[in-house]
Amino acid sequence: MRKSDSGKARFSRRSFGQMLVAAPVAPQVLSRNEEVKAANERRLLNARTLAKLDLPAAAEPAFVFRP
Amino acid sequence: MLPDDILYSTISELAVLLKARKVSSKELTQACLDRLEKLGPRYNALAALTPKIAKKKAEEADDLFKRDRVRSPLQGIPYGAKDLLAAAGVGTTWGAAPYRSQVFDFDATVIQKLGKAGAVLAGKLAMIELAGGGGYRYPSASLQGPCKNPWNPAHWSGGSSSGSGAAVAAALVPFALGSETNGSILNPSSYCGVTGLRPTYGLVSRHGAMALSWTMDKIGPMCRSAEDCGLVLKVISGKDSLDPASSGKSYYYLAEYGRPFSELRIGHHPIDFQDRAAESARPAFQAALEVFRKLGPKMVEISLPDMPYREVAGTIIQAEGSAVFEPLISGGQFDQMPDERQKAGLRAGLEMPARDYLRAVRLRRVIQDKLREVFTQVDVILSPSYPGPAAGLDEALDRRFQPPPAGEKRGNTDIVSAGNLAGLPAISLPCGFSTTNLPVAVQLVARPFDEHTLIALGREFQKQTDWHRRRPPVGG
Repeated sequence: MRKSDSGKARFSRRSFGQMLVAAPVAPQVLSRNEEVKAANERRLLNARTLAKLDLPAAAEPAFVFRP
Repeated sequence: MLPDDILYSTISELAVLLKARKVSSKELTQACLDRLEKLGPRYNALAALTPKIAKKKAEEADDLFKRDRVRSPLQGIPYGAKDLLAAAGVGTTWGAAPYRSQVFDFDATVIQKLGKAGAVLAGKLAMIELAGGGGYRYPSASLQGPCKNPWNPAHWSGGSSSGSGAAVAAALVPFALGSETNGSILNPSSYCGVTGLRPTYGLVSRHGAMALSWTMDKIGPMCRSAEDCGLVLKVISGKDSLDPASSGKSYYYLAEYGRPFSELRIGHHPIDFQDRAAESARPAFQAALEVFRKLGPKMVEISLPDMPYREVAGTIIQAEGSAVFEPLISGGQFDQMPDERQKAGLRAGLEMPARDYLRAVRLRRVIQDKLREVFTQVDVILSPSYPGPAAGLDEALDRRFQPPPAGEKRGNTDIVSAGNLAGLPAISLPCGFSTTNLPVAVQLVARPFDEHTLIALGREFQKQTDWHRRRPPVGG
């Protein structure tokens, strides 16, 4: 959560009546362990793809990103 | 009960009716509340109704109209907000079960700004859990269940601003707020046949919005026309010291566009409208291309520079999203979320070495430079918003529209990731229907802070076509 002006995320937890919630059920293709393994493989594949590119030494990351 | 002609009116049309007191904000607001309550659950589009706030705001608006005082074209107009925006005292679930009881005691900056302009918050709208940052597989990855498309409820409304797309399409509200990190405004706008605008990064404050990716999140309007997007953007844009990424710039909507369209250069690649598009959508995409051609601009064939846009965007979103939600991922409530692929993606993000993230944010700088070069050759890029119509409700989303194999012509198929990485603005315009009778859309992408050109071209396209005026078979 982006912080409020006080620097703290201001929220309380309480129940409220008007929220509409269905019980979501997702069909499963892979087991949880297989999903985690597949996600890590995707992450490594992305990293390998990016590592193949020439990156100019002057290319600095921008942490306060400006378009 | 208000007639459909009023319920499906644009903001500018409603503003005229309200000002002339042919309809009151109270009547309009009550009609929206009734439709949200009755039809919202039918589409799994509603997260929470806000009747108390809405009725009070509507009365205030009507009082001002009685005294001939009009603060903005949005005065008295009801709207819905994606459920990742804080609204004081109203549930804000971020679409995810672990946050089902979360209530903030302040308004997000965009909600505040709309309130000051006299707009009426009528409800919070459903979304994909945590805006889908882990990479979800199914439309059911939402606290409200899979959001159904008003054009055909066996199909999905798109995501992650799912409820915003469905609610505007089904005339539950005249406009909605959505958010986009990597396609979450453009995709549901395309699937639901509404007009959606992704503003330049930093133009609209994200204070009070759930963070998914600090360096890629944007908030924007989803409406019934390009003109309406301009009217909403004017109100929600501008400097905000509470958002560290705020550019300090504002957007001023101008009904006239000073530059002749014949001076504009529209970049496009035919492959996006043919081979890279779903067969059922090709006739609509081709027809849209012709409409733009007839507006008289110079049509320039271009391709995006060959860069791994999806991988760079995926790496940045995964690293930042997993960092944002680390307490949730490590805590006991994480498993309340239904989509295993999404959870696995967020878990994997915590394992990412700093060098991979840093490489991605450095490559983004290279991508920005390359796109800057593209925009010396063209003023806008035109391509389908999404290559085809809405997915089925049970369809595995990670298997649709894979990128072309290495070595094949890419055209501008990666424009969604490229545009989001570079913080560029985009507009999605409904451009017809697939042969399966679902909406499809084209997008225009421009230089940073050139929303004016996007809206002017969108407005002209919508003068020549009536796709944005079509109504889904919703019923009462």
